[in-house]
Amino acid sequence: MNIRSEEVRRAIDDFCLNLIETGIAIDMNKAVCLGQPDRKTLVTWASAGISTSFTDYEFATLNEYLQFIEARQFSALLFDGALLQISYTVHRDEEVVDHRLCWYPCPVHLTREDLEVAPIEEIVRSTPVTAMRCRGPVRFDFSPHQTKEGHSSSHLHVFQEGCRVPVKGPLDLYTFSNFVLSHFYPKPWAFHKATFAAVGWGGGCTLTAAEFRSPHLFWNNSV
Amino acid sequence: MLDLVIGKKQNPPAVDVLIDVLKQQPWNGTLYIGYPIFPGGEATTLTDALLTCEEHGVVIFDLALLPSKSLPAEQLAEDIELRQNDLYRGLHNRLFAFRELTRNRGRELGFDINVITLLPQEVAGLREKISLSTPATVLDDIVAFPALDSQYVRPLNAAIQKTAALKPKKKRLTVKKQDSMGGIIKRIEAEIANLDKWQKNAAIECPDNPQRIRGLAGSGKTIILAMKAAYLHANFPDKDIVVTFQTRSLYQQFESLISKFYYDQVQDDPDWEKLKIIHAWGSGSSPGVYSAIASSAGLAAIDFGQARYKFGYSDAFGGVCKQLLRQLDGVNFEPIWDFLLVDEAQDFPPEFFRLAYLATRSPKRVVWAYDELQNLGDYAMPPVAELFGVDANGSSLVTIENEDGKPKQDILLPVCYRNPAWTLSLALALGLAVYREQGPVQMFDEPAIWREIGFNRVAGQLALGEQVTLARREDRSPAFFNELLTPDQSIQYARFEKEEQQAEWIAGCVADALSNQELEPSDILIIIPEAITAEKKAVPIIRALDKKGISSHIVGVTKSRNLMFVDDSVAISGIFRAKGNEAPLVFLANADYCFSGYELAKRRNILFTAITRSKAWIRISGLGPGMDGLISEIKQVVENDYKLAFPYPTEEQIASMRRTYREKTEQEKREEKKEIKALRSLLDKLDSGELLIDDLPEDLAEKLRAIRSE
Repeated sequence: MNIRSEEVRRAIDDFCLNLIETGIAIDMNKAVCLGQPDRKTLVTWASAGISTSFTDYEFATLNEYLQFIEARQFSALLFDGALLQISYTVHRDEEVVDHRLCWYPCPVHLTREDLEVAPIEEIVRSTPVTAMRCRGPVRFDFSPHQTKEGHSSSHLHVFQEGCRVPVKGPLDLYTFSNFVLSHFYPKPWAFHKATFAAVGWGGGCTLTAAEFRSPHLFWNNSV
Repeated sequence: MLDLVIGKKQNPPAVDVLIDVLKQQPWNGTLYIGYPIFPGGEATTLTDALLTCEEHGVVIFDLALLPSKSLPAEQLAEDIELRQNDLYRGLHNRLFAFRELTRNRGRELGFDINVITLLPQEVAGLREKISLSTPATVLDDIVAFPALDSQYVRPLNAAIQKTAALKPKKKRLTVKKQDSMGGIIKRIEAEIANLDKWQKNAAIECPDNPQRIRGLAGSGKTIILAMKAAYLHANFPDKDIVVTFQTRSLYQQFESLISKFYYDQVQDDPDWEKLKIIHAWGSGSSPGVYSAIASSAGLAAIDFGQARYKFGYSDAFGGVCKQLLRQLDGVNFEPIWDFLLVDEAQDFPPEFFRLAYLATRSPKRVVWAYDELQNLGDYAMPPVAELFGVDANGSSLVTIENEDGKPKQDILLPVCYRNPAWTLSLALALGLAVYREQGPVQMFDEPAIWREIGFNRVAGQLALGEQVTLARREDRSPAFFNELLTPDQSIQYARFEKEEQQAEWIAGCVADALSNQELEPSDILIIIPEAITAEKKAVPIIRALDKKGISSHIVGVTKSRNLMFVDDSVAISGIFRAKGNEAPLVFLANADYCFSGYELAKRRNILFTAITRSKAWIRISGLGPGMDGLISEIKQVVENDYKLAFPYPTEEQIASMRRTYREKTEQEKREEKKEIKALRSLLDKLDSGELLIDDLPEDLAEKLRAIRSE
């Protein structure tokens, strides 16, 4: 489905503002459009810079989370310390050819009130190890140019870098936000559903026949 | 009468003698002890005493001790003359930088600087060689000096009070019009760059005891503490000095101010090994007062992360301090610092002060500064006995009193230099709820405090239970505000039905300020009173600003966002992060939140704090009937020409206000929540018929029937 980079940018900004308005997020970075070679436009959070790796640390480590917080590498910061990273690459202002959509939960339990007393980094660093939560980020990557055996065009990273669960295809913002909010924040989601009801730009199916035959993530909007 | 400012006494007996002689003199001016300081080679040169007065000009006193071995008169004269010349040159350099103090086309200082060496008794053969006095002759010697030319009086005072460290940070080169907001604030900032004399004096005065500094929000306590730290470090380079605070963002402020003040005096950088700026708590990554004390006693310090599990987040700091105190009881603990300066003292639990007392070497030079109005009256800031504890006999370990001729232990800062008189009057009127229909929400229990913070009684009686009219003293607010602004321009308010309308209005004002009034986005601060939901409430405003192409940001919760102001972006902040900051144009949105409600004193304090953030212009807006009520109070302030006319509450009324409106403890809040829940459940049962009024005990049933019929 066709989508222009400017529309994507506005959709992300609007989404983050809605998150703040409903109290699910407490901070955000504006989305910006960055020109790339080959008539591509990267729509990402303002503090991202142009590096694609963002981090010196390994996937799903405390250091990675902390570095993202300290460098403000997020589109939105949620009330429980989780991060949302939302970025899309649009080609010729028509088509999404890449995305990185990540929900990164906070390794410790914290409340909004805690944040009035100390910054997140300090709370995380000083929480006793036994109170840490064993969970890591959930990241949907779409990178058709890197497709090969065992590396599906659209895939989900969980628990370790090498894990790539095949996914139906690219997720538009609406599909991604639905997924995160309904599964990880069911109560606020149920309460504020109306605020987030918006049409996304859809996306096709990029699964290969082999990928269909083993466990994968799929959804069908037309059913 | 002379003003006395008593800093470091290098030669105390001599200083005392001088003070004795001079303090009664009917001159107009100031006697500084231990000020100013000049850079000089290896060490700094301290001026023992400096007298500046209209009647006899500028006189430096050299009070150095005589060498114990008797030297020939020649040698002695030479030494003394050398010292006198150093002192002369130091002050001359400093004053010569000000054109207003010069004459002859700016080529020479407009008046003489006199230098007197004060010796305890006559020394044979010296008087002919150099300018000398003894206690018996010093008064005559001073009186012989001619008066200061009147044109130099004001600039001289300004020059002595001025500190280059406070030059305005923004150059505002793009400002073209004199009377645009940009033009006006440019002039205000240039004027405010001077400390007022109370601040300077408070910074210099150093008793050999604990010292308390109180003032209204905006009286510049942080600056005073920074200056005091710099001054102490310059005077006592080998002593351990610590400056501490709660709000992390103060770290950068202190570092910057102290460096500048120190450099201003001494032309060198501070020795950060001896002068430390430390957060009160400390964490794994950064040192803290609490953690330093713990580790110095060989005990483990608890981090916030652990503490909040143990004590709950709001009692976390109190909890860890209490625990450390208990542990220190059995341990032989050596104090580790000589001076401890505490900012935001009202935010610290008493246990922290006890730790501070233990950690400071005799004579326990702890200085603490706090806002008189953030938590009104003494009850929020516990009395000194409770703060520091009592000794074996039950008497307070620390007493605070001001003795004549000695540096002050208790300083009350009278001027709120940041704000025009009308802004401060409005802030007080709304903060105390003076013109509220049901009467004030809080009040100073000592009427005399009004006078001390710079208000005069213009009608009635300033006493408990009496009708009184108070007005801000003219001389307590800088005069230039009246020349550059009027109250109508300064203070504006608006009321709306919906948040979106308020947001539109704010965005419109901001757009006008940026496009037509030559202000910059970082000149604007939008404050939202509700702390926890500030971000939510900010969204309509962000959207409205965005529609006009104006960038904005929410002052956030990650470490890097402790910076308030960002270039090219309008700052939106909850009230907590706005504290200690200021901006030329301040908006207070949703002000109706502060009009009435739970813990009303706390909400009213927010009004006071928010309004006093404004350097020049304040815009108050809100929704619905709450805002109507607030506007009604504002109008009364305006109609009374910014005077406060009200019946001063009686002692019982003040006590009652305290009970009703004050901030509740966590435990109390939890209890009340439970009680409200129970009440709701009871009322529901009565409504549904599950329970009948008659089933209740008779006295309760009667009360309920009475309430229902109201």
